Amino acid sequence: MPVAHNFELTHTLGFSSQEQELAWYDTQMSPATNLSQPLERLRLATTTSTYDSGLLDYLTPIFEKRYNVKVEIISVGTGQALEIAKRGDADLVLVHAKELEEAFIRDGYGVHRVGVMYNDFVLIGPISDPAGIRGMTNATGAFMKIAKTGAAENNPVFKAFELIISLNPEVLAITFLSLQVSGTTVLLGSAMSIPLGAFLGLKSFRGKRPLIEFVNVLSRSIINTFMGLPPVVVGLAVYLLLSASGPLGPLQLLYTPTAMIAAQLIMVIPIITGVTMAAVGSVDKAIRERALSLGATEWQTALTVLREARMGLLTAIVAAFGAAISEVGGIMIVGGNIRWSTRVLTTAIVYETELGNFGVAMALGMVLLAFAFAVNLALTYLQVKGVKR
Amino acid sequence: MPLIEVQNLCKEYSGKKVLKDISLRVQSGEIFAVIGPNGAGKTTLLRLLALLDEPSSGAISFDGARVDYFAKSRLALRRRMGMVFQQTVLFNMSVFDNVAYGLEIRGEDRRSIEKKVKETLELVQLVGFERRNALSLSGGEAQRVALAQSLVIEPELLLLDEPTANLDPRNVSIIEEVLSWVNRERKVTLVMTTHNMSQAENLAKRVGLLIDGKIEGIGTAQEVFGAPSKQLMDFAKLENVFSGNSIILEEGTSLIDISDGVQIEAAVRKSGRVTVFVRPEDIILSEKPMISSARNVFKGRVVGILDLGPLVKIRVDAGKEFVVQITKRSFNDMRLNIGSDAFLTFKASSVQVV
Repeated sequence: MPVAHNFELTHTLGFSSQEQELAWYDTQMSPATNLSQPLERLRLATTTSTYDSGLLDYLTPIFEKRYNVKVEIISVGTGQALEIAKRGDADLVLVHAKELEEAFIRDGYGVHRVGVMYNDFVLIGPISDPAGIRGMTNATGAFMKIAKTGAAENNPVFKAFELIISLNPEVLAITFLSLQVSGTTVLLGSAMSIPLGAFLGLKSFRGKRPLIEFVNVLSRSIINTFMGLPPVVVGLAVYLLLSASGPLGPLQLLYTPTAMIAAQLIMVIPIITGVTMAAVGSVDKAIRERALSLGATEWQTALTVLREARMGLLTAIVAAFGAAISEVGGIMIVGGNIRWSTRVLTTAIVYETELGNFGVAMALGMVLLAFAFAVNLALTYLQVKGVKR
Repeated sequence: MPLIEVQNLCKEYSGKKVLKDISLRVQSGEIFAVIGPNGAGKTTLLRLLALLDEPSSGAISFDGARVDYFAKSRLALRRRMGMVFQQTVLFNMSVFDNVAYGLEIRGEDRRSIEKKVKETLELVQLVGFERRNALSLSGGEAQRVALAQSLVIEPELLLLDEPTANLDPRNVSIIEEVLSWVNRERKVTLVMTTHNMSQAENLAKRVGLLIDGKIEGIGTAQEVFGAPSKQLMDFAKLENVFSGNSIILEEGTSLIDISDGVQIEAAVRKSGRVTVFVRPEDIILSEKPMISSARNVFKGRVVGILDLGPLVKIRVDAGKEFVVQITKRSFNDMRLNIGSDAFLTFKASSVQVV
């Protein structure tokens, strides 16, 4: 087995002081499982490198079974992991930055620090050693040699198809959660924003009184600004709200699909409102006058205008769904990309890409594309049908 | 008793006086036509009568009561009248749903709606179109649906803004037939605008000549068009109106001598003193004489050019002055200038005789 250079890093397990139940884990948790009670949740913030090693995937089920607890793993950078724990959003941290860890304990955020492992970086390959790196002591040199001989080549596209065709259960779960989160977001968002957009759009029909005009311009500008809001900023704001130290901390919504829906709603509401507003506003003034001249009340006229704008409303929903299902920055922060819990297509793609699993990332990308296409196909069909009918 | 009484009505749009001190009465059961050139204020007058706009000053009385503009009474009055716009406006729904609209918003029951829509579609000769989307119809069919929309609610007053403008003769005659039928059989009062003199003469009992926001004459078509007034001459300059003596030719057409050596042939049989009218868009302008079946060809000289954006109006002196309307593209292609020679060609059937 070829071995390259050794690195030495300490991985440290720290206990957050804000979770006094930790002692309880040690003393009272019995290996016996008690299914009648809801599972206690243990949230671990760790570094990407630990998580990516796959070690936790192996240990977690054993730990969960033994202590009858649900382990949720947030994999982020060391600084962010410690920050999350400081805010009370994680029970345990597993990181490697000794000085920061010691400061963390010294400042009273953690109660216990223990060194749990060191990591050796080892290159493992077939016995035939096609790149001829056996005996090398320099990792960079070894990788360059492998790259040069092309020995590490694999086909991500082939891998992607294999994952999709075999209906990999994790891919299915991720896809389902993506649809659930985006679908709920669009449904709730439409229920709130279509009436709002219609109201603002219809307002523009009314008189040119300066105050109404001013309110109109102001609300439109606000909506248009929010339409261009970076999702990451929204995610950060929602995170700070829902964090255990934030104003809505007691709701315990951080790192749940509900938090992801909340963040996406903030992004989707301006989109649906804005597009609805434009669609309703662009309905010919003549339609409104036609309704009035046929004896419609103001309310009936508004409904008629809305019905004429229905293709525009459909566009609003399509745009919102597209934005929601392809969004990544915001839901990464508030969802935490927790495996089997809050991992969705986009966050999984980022994660797998970082890991170098381009095949899996591609597979998920194709699923994402396929759903975006299916939804657009259905809605476009409706639009075409709506015009001809 | 007059159904509508208009007193000293004025309307301004952003400082521009569109209607100036209009007073007129329309009797119940009458057909009243407002005739005038484009931009005279015809549409504005109709919109005020339809209660879509409020006057700047003056008053409208409907059925003896002065109109106020509070939402409730306005709605109640609006529900007693129908309006057909010049630009056909239909909802993106089926023909049936379009016609049923006025009944549905009045909360009529399904069976009565179906019966009334069916009857009305028969009236405008659109049976079988129920399930078609209204936006897929031709211009003439669409305008008949718009008429059906306004008729199905059984209005006492029907306001029509150039209801047959830009339609082909078949659709024009269907609409004109429907209009005279509802007036005769259902006693619906009609107020219509038009710039077509013969339509005004054929349909309306009385005509009001509206020029530049002012009523310049009210009476029968003969009275209004027969009396040579300065205002009628202004209208004539814009719309090719001439008067002269007509004789019936052997072929069954008439030849009208409008003096200054110009004789116009018209596809009607009428003799004596008449007024003729040729729409500027019905005259073909060419640099060389055209070989065609058209009976009227005159040589003239360009004396005026008026740029109207996509359209250009050209005044040609051919003994009498004619106004011709062509598109900007044709105008650019022909490279016309003041003083250029030009030929005017139009069919005897394009000549309207009153």
